Amino acid sequence: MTAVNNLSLRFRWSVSAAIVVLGCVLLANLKINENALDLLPGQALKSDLRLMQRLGLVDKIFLTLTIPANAGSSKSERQQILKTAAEKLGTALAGNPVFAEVLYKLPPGFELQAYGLFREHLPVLTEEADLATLRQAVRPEAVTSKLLEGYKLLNSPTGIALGKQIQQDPLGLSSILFGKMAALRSTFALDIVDGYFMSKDGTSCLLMAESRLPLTDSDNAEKVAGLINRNLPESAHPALKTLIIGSLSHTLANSRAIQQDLSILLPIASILLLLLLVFAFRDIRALAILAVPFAATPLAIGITNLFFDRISTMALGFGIVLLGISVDYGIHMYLELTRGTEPREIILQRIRRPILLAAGTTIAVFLVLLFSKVPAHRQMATLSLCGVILSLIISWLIIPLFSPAKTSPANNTVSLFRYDKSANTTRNILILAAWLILMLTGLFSWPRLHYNGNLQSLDIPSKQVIEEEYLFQKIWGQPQDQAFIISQGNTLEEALNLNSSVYQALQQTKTPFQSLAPLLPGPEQQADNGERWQQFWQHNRAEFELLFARAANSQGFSAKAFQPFFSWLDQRPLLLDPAAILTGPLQGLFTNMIRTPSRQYLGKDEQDDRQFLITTTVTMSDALLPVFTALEKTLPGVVLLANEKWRSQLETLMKHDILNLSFAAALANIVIIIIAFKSARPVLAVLAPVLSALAAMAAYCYLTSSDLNMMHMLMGIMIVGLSVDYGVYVVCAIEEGISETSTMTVTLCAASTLIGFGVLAFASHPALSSLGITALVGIGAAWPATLFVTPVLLGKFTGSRV
Amino acid sequence: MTAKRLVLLCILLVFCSLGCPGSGSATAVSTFLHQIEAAAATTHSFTCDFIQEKHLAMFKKPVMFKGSLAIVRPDKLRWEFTEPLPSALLLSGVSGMRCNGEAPPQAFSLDADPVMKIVAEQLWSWLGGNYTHLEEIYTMELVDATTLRLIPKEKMIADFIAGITIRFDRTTLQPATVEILEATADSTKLLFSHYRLNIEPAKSLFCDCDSRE
Repeated sequence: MTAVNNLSLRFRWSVSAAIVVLGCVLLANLKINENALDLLPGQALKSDLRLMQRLGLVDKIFLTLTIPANAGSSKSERQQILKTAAEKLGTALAGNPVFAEVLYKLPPGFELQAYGLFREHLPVLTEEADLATLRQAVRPEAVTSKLLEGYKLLNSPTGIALGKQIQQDPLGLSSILFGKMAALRSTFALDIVDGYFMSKDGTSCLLMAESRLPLTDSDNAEKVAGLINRNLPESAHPALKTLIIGSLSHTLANSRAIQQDLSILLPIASILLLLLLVFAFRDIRALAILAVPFAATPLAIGITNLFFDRISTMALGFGIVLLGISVDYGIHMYLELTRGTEPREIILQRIRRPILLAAGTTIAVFLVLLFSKVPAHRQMATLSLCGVILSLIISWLIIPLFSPAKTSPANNTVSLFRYDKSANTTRNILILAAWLILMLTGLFSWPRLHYNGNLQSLDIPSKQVIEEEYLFQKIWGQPQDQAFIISQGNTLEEALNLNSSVYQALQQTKTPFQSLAPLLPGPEQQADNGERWQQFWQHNRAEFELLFARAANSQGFSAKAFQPFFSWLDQRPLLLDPAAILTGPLQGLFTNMIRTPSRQYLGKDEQDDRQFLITTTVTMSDALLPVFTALEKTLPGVVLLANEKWRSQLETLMKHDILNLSFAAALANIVIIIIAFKSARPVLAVLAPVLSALAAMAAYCYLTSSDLNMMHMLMGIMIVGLSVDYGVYVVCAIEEGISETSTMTVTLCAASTLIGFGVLAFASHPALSSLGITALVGIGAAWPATLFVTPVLLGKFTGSRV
Repeated sequence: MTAKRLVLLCILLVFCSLGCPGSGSATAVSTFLHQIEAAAATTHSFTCDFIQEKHLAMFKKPVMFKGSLAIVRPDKLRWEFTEPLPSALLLSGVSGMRCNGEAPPQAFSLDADPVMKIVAEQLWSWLGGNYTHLEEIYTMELVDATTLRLIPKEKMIADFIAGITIRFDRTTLQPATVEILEATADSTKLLFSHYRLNIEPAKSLFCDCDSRE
């Protein structure tokens, strides 16, 4: 216990305990951030996602009540069942404070009320393209035909109801409005039946709700799903089913898949890890090694929390996982102390260099990661950096206390590999050849890899979710890919003006879109329209009045029959007040497209970031991306929210980030290794496991999907950190010629990593599976490379124990 | 309920409240309405001829139209003008058609045409045979033994309709004349004749503009 005595027992325990206690104290103030913004690089992307949150797009839920075509005796009976069910569910959700917006029906008579409202303002809604309709309407034959039609209608069963309308609009100019009203629902194939949103075949009814709780959080998602399920009106008919579409179903599918995976795989990994340690060390005290990262974690998190206002859940999770690296220091110390033949203080002095070097290379990687553009990566790097340093300190203080002195070195030393000296040359050539093949494969694969920045690639919708989304698209005719063009303004008028400009630009594209602009143009556009209307009638009024009077007279109408129409023509065009729309009969539809500041549910720190937002929904394609992105440049205040745009931006930013960081991390490691080992041979020998791991991972990714995703990259960092340590341990051991336990150290470290992370390869969730596979492939290559290639490269492959 | 809807309701009352003589008091009106319902219950279908006379301020002089009406309960109707301008309105379930002389027929769906949906809803609520609930909307009085007058209770209806006077045929309990007085002083008078009760009109009558009885 001489080494131990050098530092008093009390000091060792005091410092270790202080680390744990301080960590626990700091943990009390931990603030966790569920916001996905932290996962994104670049300000533009974050702004877009924040905008989506303000628009309520992230937390929107689409509920489809559906009934088989053979249920009920007729279409109207099926529709009645659906209406009853929609009313019940819609009322229940609308009455629940968890939901901010629930739209399940429009008020009775909304179409006629809307018609009445808009007809009065027809002059300011008549666009240039509508002038053709006006010109056609004032032609003599059209006037005669319309007056005859009016005459018949006045005498028909609907005559009393339509009399006033015919008086006010004998030319049927209101037909201009019908096309504009249809544009409101152009992206959905639906009929509005008694205000309910029905599918064309009458077997489905649509409801929309927006959750106040962020649905990207699994707890919230479970709560909201439970709320919906409790209110499902499936009792209305035994065959009634409900499809739930939106981020809710994805969050639930992912969290449930991860929970299921972890509930099976974690116990398996834990048992295997314990068996490994028990088998390898045959001493219960060795389990103290496992406790080291756990002891360091609270303070590491606490320190990280001091630097960042909130820690992302993703950074927290992966940061703790990365702390697993620090187990290796404990294993190395424990094995050396329990199996070394020298005095303990000599052993501790000897292993100081490889352990500090190993920790130094790992710390260098995390230091580099601090410069990432992704906030979550920076948080993760800080946490891991603190954790590795703290683990190193705790290992140095505590592991010697739990390491029993060696009793019988010959029996306890494990040598996994024995080689015949006579076969060394051939064997070495074979080893180098195999390694070179691996390197060449990696070199071939690496440039062909594509970074998949689409975070959806880590999404695992269950079979049920996929089927329901397919059904939803089939029922409602929704295009696969939609995008949103947002017009922002400090005032509603400003936003409406911008939205009108977007509308005019979109008309050139011939793509289907849903816009508010035809029915509610901005004030500027309304003024233009009104001016155009007046000019038209100034040019045509005199001639028109003459021919109209002749036609009306010959049709039997009295001279004053259409006085209301001419009085209306005499009026100056009345501007349409947006406030009338937001409180009118189409309120439900319009408020879905206009987001006022009071309806943007933001965090406290975003209270100032409030503008009026108007949404135009467009059908997206790769060909249209440049057209829509050009709008952002030509119309300041316009933002395109589209998967295609984000994917491309994200890939560029992440690729740039990762390339720069990888280069910097590699450079930092190489510099450290060069400084430590000075000549090329040992440097290459140390780096051989790293190169092997990277080559294997590149080859694997190329052969499977040619895609690199965020999980590959994060796990790759850990693999590099671990494998460089293996190289350091073995090269130090060989160079100094005094260690007999490096093989076992590397083997145990690799085996524990393979067990801990390798089992995740069998997970059903792609994110976990990516983690596991990367660990299996990377460590699976680094481990043998450390044992076989590093000694060969070092020219010290003697076949004896190393 | 919109004003237009209520106006339609009034006019459809005229077309559909078929059969009701009576006299004076509320009890008498109630008895009278039950008689109508009883008659309606035994009438699955009917056809009749009519003459419509419109006195509208929009027209220089009164306009007279002649035509025929065919109904099969619960959801088939053909309202057809034969003179002076042929036209027809056909309803069959949620489908409908406007026939306009030589012009191509215009099919519509009640799901997509809000005006016609309201027309059809009100039409069938009256043609269903349950008339007593009209008392909620109108003050009813018997002018004489065969004449019923309806005065709208609600202002919204009264803004359009001043009153409806229906004279019934004493023996068939079908309306013989109906006069609608609008709030603007316009009026419409309908004279029904040649009732043929519980016949089976051809199905094509309700979905084909050119079909004839």
